Amino acid sequence: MITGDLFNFTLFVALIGIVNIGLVGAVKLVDVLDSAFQYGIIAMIASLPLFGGAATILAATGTLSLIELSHLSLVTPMVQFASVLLLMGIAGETGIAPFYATKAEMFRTPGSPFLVIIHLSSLLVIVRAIEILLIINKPF
Amino acid sequence: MLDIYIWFYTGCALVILGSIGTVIGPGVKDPIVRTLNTEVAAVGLSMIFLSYNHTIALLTFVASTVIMTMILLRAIVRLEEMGAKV
Amino acid sequence: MTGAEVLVPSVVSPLVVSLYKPAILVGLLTGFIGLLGIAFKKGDLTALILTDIVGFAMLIIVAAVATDLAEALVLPGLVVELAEILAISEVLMSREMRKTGKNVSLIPLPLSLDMEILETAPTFLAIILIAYGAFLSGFTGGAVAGVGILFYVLSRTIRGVPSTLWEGVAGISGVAWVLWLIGFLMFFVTPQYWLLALFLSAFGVLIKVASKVGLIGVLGREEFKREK
Repeated sequence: MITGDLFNFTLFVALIGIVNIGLVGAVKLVDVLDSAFQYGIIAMIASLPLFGGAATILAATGTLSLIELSHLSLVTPMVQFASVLLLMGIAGETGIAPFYATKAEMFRTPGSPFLVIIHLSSLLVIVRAIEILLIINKPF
Repeated sequence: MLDIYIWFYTGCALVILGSIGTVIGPGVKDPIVRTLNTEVAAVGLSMIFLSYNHTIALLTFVASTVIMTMILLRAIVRLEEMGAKV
Repeated sequence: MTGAEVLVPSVVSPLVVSLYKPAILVGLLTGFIGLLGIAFKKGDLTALILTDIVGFAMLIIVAAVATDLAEALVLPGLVVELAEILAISEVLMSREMRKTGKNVSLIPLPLSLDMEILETAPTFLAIILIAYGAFLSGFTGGAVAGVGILFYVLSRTIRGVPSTLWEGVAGISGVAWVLWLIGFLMFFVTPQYWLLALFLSAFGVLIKVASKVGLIGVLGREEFKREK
């Protein structure tokens, strides 16, 4: 998570999605498995904007290193578009605000374990993602 | 030597045709037909990789597409054996 | 460094630059078609198959950058997609098994591979593939030679010869991997021996990939034995 490379971060987020599916899928209840399936579909669809955003940033700036990206002075519309894609991807993989409905059912079930792990990992990833988006877009 | 545009645009056309065929193609009520229709899009994607000279990506893609098709077919056959409504 | 130089370096050929916009458009269009299909078609299995199409769209967008780095980025994308489709299909099957209460076999397909070509041709084809793979060397050569070994082991299985020949294959694979690592280390530590390092890493990865693919054959043989 504390990486200096943008693509390593996107790969880490994608792996978080897979691991969350695995953790939830270990519960043998029909409702929870149904919710895990919906979450898995969303996570898989979200890999399109996630990797697409990283690739678009590579095409727009010619580098994926966050240090190099922080030294670039220009922010083109393509970089902003890529940042929006990246944010959509991260939101889908970790299951936050717009996609929260997929995770709600498995939070409601009393028997499902590892809820704290899933929730905490999502929060930490979001904090780092916001930092990376600030580094790329330089609003200040 | 053939023009690279021919390979690239044939690949693009195959990808779009294959994805449309997967969504609303003939006989896609049967999930096996739907799975096999994704192969058209896979061939198109292979041609795009080929036109960009992505050799190792192409090799890995061919292998992983085969494995993916096997996973999907196994899921379909098992679900039909269970008699599940999906 | 001005902005335009950053956007398109001069080493990138204008051909690839001219292909970038259509490739991105095709990728977005494919993803849109796939998402529309998921939105309008009912059924969990349909959604699972259509996410495959969305994954293809992701690969097109990544590949359109067309540098070596982009090629390296395609590989983890493929692996992630494969792992996710495996996980989701397992979750789906597990759920349906709970719902219907029926238990079905793990691999439902009866694997009976009694083709004529597996009895007549395997040695010849395997030798050609392994020799060509050794000639190529590197990752591609390893894959070609591995297919040869895989084919040989599978056909031996069909003919019913109990072969304990491949038991040490896993060990060879590990040793070759170490050779590959040493080769890479030599590139950084002693760059003047670059030729030795190149050959160490090339043939290390050749043996590693070949034996790994050959191991699939060994595993498959054990699976078939269990089936019978």
